[in-house]
Amino acid sequence: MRRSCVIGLGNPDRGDDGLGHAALRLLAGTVAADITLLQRNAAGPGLLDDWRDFDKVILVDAAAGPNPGQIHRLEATSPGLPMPLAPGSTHGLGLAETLALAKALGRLPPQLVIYAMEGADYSFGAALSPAVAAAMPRLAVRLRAQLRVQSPVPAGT
Amino acid sequence: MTARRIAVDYMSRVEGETALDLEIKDGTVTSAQLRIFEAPRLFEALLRGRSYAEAPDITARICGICPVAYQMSAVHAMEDALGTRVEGQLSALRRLLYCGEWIESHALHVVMLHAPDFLGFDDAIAMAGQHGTMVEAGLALKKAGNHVLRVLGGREIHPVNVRVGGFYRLPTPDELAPLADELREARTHAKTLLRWVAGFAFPAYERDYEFVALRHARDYPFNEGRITSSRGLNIPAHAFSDEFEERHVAHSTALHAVLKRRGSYLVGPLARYNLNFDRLPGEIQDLARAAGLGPVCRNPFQSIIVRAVELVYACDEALRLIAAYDMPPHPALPLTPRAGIGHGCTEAPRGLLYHRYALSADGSIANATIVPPTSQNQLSIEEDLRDVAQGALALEDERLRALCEQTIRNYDPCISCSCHFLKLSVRGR
Repeated sequence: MRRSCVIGLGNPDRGDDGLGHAALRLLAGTVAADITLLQRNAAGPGLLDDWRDFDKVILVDAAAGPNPGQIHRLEATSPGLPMPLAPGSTHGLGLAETLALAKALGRLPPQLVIYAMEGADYSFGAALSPAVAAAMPRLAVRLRAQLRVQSPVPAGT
Repeated sequence: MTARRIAVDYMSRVEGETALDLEIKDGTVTSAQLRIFEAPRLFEALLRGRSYAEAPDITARICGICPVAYQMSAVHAMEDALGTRVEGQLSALRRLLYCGEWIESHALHVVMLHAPDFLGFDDAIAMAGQHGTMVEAGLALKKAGNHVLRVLGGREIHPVNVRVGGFYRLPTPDELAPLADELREARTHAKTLLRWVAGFAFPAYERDYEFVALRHARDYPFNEGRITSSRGLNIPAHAFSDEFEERHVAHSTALHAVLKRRGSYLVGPLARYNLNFDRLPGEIQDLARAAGLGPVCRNPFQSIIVRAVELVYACDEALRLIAAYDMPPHPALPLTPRAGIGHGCTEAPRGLLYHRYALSADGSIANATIVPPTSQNQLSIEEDLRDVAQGALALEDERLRALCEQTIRNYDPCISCSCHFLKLSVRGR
């Protein structure tokens, strides 16, 4: 039995940056009990320890972009890591750098898929923006489908 | 006349937003400026009117890498103003918390930020392919240091458990025990890193700095001691403004601190080590000697070795403090607000951090002064740059620029609390 985990990244007190944690709330209780759900505030080297024991890892994060609510699916193990999705400023490594570091150290999980949804509003204390809130059920459906597949699904699905 | 300009428009692998400008005319470096364009952060002004009790939490926000340093200088200054002194196990817990911060901060700088300069890599990710074991060791150390902050401070970044007079909640001995296991492993990693960095090639460069650091009657300094220097300065924290002043310069949003009578000086691991070698335990002194250091080191590039020595020491010291922990009956001393002025000086990972507060009778802050290590080191950084570049003008632009960046990183400058990945440009004429 392959072990799976979903990691929601972001700050729940920063509007749409909280969509990763919100996705975990939608999944809780609706996916198999052996699937681990982890809330994390940001990417960084800590993720390498978080996913150490898992064969299949799904990361959910907010992304900058012009179409709030649009969902992007990225394969971390495919060539050409999504460096443009790196956050502009953090105390440490952004998601793209974390993935590059994991790759260099041979610590990427066998299967790693990233679901990034474009956000609109990252204000302090804000709720999810209407476009992102409306797209959350669609994101949850895709995450559940991803958890059911046994091997990486082709890009674009 | 021939003119040459070496510019780094955006320094990477430092905390914050800064650029470097070097002007060379007819074979002479005529100007070396560290241009800090990080927006002013106005912390001193926004503390005014807030309660003395809020200072550790507000000032912690100045830095995500060294929040404990701000908390420690703040609480010591406030306790000075309120006429009280935290001692015994509460003081020991503060030292333990500070050990955690040194460990996470030094591990980050030694491995992820500075080592790539010595080995010719753009960054730690590129370095990880060949030096994966060392990157893993650095990450494990950082994790152990963060763990100390989480257990004592409530969380890793901007801890919430530090309080004027002590702590909000004390850890139980059972909560500290797992830290010891992790720190024992971290110590092994730190020794591995020390041997590794000792083998790097160091530019043959020394300068006769005035080193400034705390010195304590017995201990290697974290929270306590007098402000001392390699040229005879020996003053208590409250005399700081008699000897030091901050000056505005046009090319930087950070103030330049100077010794009023002598100008530039150096704070940080190199200064701490040089002024306190005799305060290190014999075993740590032996490790430093085995790594090629004498009791005094004037080569700023070798600060990476000193940081690694301090990493081993901080692990040892944390383990000693955990073993000796005896949970006090109360988490904090009772305090009564009063009007007064208080000064606090502690050793942040990057060096001396001075806080001064004037309190009104109700305990609200009338004014605040905060002098961080990086503003104290700016002038020394620029002097190093001028010297190092002057001696290396034969290098082509790209090599010279890399050497200048390495020179800046010797100081682990914390421009604010963000770490940016890089955009470089060279303009030569």
